[in-house]
Amino acid sequence: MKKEIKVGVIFDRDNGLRPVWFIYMNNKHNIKTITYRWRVKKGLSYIEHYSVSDGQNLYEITYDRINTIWKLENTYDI
Amino acid sequence: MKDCNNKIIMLIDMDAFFASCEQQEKPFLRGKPIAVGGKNVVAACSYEAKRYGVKSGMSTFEALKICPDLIVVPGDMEKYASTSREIMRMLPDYTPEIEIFSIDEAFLDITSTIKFWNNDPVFLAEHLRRRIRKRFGITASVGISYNKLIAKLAASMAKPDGVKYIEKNDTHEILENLPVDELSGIGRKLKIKLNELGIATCGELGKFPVKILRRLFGQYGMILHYMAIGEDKGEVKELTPKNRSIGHSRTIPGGVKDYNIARIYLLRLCEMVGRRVRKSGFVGRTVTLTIRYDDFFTFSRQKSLYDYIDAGEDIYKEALYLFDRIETGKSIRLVGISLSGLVKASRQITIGENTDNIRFLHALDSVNNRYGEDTIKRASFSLIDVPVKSISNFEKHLDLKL
Repeated sequence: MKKEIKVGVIFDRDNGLRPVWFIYMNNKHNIKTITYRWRVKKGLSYIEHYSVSDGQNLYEITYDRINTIWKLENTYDI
Repeated sequence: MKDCNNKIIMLIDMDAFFASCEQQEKPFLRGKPIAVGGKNVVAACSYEAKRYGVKSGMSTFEALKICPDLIVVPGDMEKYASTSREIMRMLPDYTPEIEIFSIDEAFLDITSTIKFWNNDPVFLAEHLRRRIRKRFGITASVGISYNKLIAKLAASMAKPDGVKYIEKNDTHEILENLPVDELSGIGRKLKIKLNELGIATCGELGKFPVKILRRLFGQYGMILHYMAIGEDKGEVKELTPKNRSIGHSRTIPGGVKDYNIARIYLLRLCEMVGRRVRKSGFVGRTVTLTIRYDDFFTFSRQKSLYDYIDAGEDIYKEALYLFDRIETGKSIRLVGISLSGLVKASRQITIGENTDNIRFLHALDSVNNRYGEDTIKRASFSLIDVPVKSISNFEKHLDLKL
């Protein structure tokens, strides 16, 4: 999959980056739950992974800190 | 040495770790029997799957036979490793004496710090478990006792999602009728040998003549005796570079009979190991080659060198020496390479040393460190799948879809 997306984020002191919505195929998805998050090293930096749900589907989105790009990696039907 | 009988040792052990991570990440998997693995083997499974008799190491085919509703999920070692690292980073908040036993287990010696926790080990254990559940939504079980062996036993008895504290006075009663293979370090084959001697329980093992155990099992016979009576003098110790190794392995899709292809995988792995060793600031002198054939027969060959090395091509030269001496004709499904006997590198250029090669390696490392693995790589690697997963001596080696 790996589509570049636009993401609205809250910078939270306790929890770091918290995505709150993203736009995919011209649809805005409000994130209701972040079910999991983890990070993977890439070069000098990290790729942050988030599994998020809009209440209907589950999405895996990632944030590349070096290139400041958000991507949609996977979608799952709940 | 500290008085072993007055220690308080804790083992934190994540419950069905890989499966729990997947079920937490993907809510539609919760409450269902799932197996984390690939086409061929189950690497880990959920408690729901365990109720059907599904076990780690079982073939996927067999698992689906006994549990037709089993959902097989591809593994994601990066996710589990990231979660493990975050959990392990919590542990120094409780004690500086930590031994990471595996990707999902760690021993903590809380003898000197328990006074900060109301002298209540269960209170400390519950605090840590709550933190893990709050951050990740997954559960851990904790075993507490006066040594590592019994702490591990306690953790297994506490599973899932529990805490068990075994005090020294209670050990004899617990061990008396406990099957021998419940103790960590006694596997299926040893259990069969002990059964043949008429030993089924730890109580029987503890009473069995030590002289006969030593005759049959050598020095290990003495260790078995001590284990059976709940004695373990092993200290909680952080792994040092000397007993560490850095390695990589790769499952080759479909297996391969053309050993030239296997050699390309091996070269790739050697370069990866070299890079990680250099990045860690170490050099090593023992090269270990691991091979698994299609029939799952797995073996390792080792070579110790006089000189310390850290360059991929030097590691490959030794690996090739070992590889060219294995039985040919059988299809290889996995190759692995590791470098051990690690010491801190203090690289000084000596007369006659290939300084161009050293400069080349430094330049190559700089580019790949900054922009990611494989930014620059050998042309021959385009013939094979590139991504590999690493093994260190605390990560499990698994046959996962990559």
